[in-house]
Amino acid sequence: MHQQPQNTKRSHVIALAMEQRQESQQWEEFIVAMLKKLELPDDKRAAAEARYKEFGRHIAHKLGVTETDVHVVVQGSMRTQTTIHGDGRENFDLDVVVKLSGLTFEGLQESEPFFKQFGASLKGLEGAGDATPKNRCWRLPYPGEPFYFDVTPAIPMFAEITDTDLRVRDPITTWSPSNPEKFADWFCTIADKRLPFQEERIRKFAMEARTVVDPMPKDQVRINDILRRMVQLMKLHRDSYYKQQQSDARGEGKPISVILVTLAAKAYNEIVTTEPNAYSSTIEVALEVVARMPKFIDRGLLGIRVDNPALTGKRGENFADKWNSDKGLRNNEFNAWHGQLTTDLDALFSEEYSKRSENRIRNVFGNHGVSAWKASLLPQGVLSGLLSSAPAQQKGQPQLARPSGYRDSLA
Amino acid sequence: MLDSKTSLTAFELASATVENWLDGAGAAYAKRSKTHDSRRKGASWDIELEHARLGPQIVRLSIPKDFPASTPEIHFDKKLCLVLPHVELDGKFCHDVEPSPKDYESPDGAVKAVIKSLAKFWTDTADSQWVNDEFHNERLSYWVHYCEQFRKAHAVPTPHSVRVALQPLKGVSEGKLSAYFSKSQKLRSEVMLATVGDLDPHSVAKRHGWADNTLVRGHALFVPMDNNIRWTPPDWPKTFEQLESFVAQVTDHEQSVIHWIQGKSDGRPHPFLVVLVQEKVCYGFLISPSLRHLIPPGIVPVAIERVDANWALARDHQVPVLQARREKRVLLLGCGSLGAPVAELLVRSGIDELHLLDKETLEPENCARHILGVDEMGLSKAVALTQRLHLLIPEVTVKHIRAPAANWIRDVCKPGMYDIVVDFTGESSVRVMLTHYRKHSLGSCPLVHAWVEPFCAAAHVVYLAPADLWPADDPGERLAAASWPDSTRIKLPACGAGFHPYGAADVWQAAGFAAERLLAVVDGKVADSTVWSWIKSKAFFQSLGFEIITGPLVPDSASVFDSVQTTRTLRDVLSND
Repeated sequence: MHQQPQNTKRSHVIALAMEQRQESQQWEEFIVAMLKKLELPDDKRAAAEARYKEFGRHIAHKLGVTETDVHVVVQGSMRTQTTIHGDGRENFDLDVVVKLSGLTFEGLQESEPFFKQFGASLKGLEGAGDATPKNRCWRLPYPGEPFYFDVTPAIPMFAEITDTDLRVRDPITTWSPSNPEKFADWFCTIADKRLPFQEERIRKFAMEARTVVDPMPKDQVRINDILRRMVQLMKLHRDSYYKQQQSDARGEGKPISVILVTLAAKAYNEIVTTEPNAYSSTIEVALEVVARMPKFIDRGLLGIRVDNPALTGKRGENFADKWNSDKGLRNNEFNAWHGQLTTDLDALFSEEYSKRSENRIRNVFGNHGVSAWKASLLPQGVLSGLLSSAPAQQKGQPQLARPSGYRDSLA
Repeated sequence: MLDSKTSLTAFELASATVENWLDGAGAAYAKRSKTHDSRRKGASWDIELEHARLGPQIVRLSIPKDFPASTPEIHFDKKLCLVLPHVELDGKFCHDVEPSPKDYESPDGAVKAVIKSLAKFWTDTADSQWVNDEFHNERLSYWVHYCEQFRKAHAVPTPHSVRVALQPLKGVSEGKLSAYFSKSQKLRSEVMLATVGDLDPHSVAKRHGWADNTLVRGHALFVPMDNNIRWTPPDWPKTFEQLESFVAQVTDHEQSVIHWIQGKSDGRPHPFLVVLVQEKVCYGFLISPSLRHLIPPGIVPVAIERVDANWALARDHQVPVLQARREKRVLLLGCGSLGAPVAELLVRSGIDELHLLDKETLEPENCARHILGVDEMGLSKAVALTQRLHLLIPEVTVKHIRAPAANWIRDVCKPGMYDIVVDFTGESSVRVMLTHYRKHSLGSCPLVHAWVEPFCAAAHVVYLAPADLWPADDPGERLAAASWPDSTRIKLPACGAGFHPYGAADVWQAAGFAAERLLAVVDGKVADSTVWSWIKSKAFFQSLGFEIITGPLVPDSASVFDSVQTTRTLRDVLSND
């Protein structure tokens, strides 16, 4: 350790301090538990899936086309598995793209009639409520459910059906290129990469599991999916940060999810591919991902660019296109938010786990996070944690129930 | 710390085990208390817990100094007393975990059991209905806590002890109150006693030695309330107005506390006590006077101890049996080492009227096996025993007769005077006398003779149903378990004086044996004349060091501690004879 050049990166210093306090595992468990609480619950996820599976048949019927010409594709956070319940939003935002193919949609010039026709076809979906138009999609509110759907109609960029390049309505430019599947695949490929220390941990864990007689604690959850969890954490932090600013003007400029996802994935990819052995803890990697994000914003001669990695070349898409024409609003907001995220994470991880303060948790996880944290302090959390921290019984000794004494038989 | 295992006591070892856990892996959840009281607790930790209804709470887990002989303790903020059930005045949580023999071996087990109990409680108390039900189910405890809390929080002089001799109520009843003030504590009464109806509380207080110093008389109002009326912290009247409307509510607007007080007012200060009676439990409110009508009267909640016989002798359990016994008049002849404990057992069992006859005075040497002691030396045994029983047992009527048995039976006793006559003189002459006077003096009254053999080697209880007579030739000696040589009696250098050596431990067993059977007779459970015998083993007889010829009833056992108890009909005993 001492022979190596001293690592003075903040991420390393904080992670090292935490390691010395032997709190890494607790923090990881805490973050996973927190994010778990803020994810769409499994039963609701199943309900949502049942909903969007109805879309294809319904839309095909309404548009008078065959079902094979309607493909419903999940995109966005649902596809990248980074859905999160942020502040300022009542419900989970679920994105689907409806790919329409066949003669009816070939060679369309105008996007408005197509978009309106599609909107009309969404009428009568059970439980969906009235669809309202957005720039590229229609929003189905599903009143009473904890989610809503943004349904984006898309047609092939070219005639070849197998190509995943799509175009979608754009109120200004008529059509915009889009390739949600490819973007998601790009993200997932990176997110699924693992660092050596993680592999080692999994191996050790499996070894221990074989030798321990007592059953494993059920909720031994650590962060394996660092990138996905960090994206969730960033979205949470962004939403709660802008909720606190209470300024509509600034809120206009808040960094959009796809930019966060792109930058974080690029940062993580760089870490995994260029210096996989330089890290020994999840928290360290997480902090380093955040630290590296800004450097993937291209500030070259062509203006500020965050290119869609799924649409390269001429047909490319600059997620940060608007940054170049808003008098620096979005650029400034990104910097302000990113600075705050860095500060808040440093502050959170620098304090002792047991002294987690409500404010620091609110700063990172938002109000929903604080509520979830408080709920986790209920006996199921603290007291069961305390119980499970008791030293295990000696091996080979069957765990007998504690017989109780008695008294008062003579009172 | 564990290296010095051998030098640690069991208590220290158990405590160290728990400390290793909670300061180690448990430290993520529990922190050592900063305000630990090392004089009273071995170690303590604070746990932050969010309560679903009450918000964040600090819960303290402590290891008592005598852990694991007693269980770990949990304390909440003492403000939670009466907010959550099972929380005592000092915030201690009644976790209901008893010490287990296993706790010495695995001390963590006790801590775990307590934490589990806490976890369940924490979840349960999220439900306000559960909380309310618990308060109601154990309402007496919480009422007592409340009274104590009130006393500490208010500068109102509350009596040390408020006692009520309750009687079964038929609706709202008035009663009397005696309050005793010591000279030094003029404002705070030491004892208050309330009685129902016309019974004078002062006479009751004097009888039991509660009437000390200055007596102030007052009034009591007994208000029965239905069993289904809720009596939880939010239900308790907190002001005089609330008490007035509560009483109005539970009495269908038939009773007003204001009118009751006004009706008793004679211009002088008297204490007033309102007693709400729910089933067997009393809840009291002392009315503090209004100050020249400038402020309304105040109320002081008081915990009440019931001192009536139904509670004191039976905790209101199986009251019909008690009531039947309280209608019995019993004449007990002979207040010696067997008769005196039987007398006490009878009145403790609820016999209401007991006449004690004995002609002798208490000597110092009686001390070893009598329930009276040298403080009553020189007093008549019957008189001293009567005083003792009057002092000890509420409501019982005990009378003393200092006379030879024959005189009383012949001259005073008339048929119908007693429901049962019991003879504990152990004297053949008394048994024979009773046979001759049975019809004349006792009529159809059942008769019981009881006596013990030398060394308490055997005891006999003979129940004679009204139609049966004990043979006039007194077959008592032939009933004996063994034939005893004269030498077993220790002679004293006085005319006819001597004794058989045995102690209280022996004779009080015989007293229990006899009393159990007497009560069966009193309760009407025995129809035919019966002879009960309790006979020690052959080994016991042999251990006495005399030439004793044991009879057929003596059990052939090698242990001196063995014995038999037999039940025979009188007819069988006499025909075998």
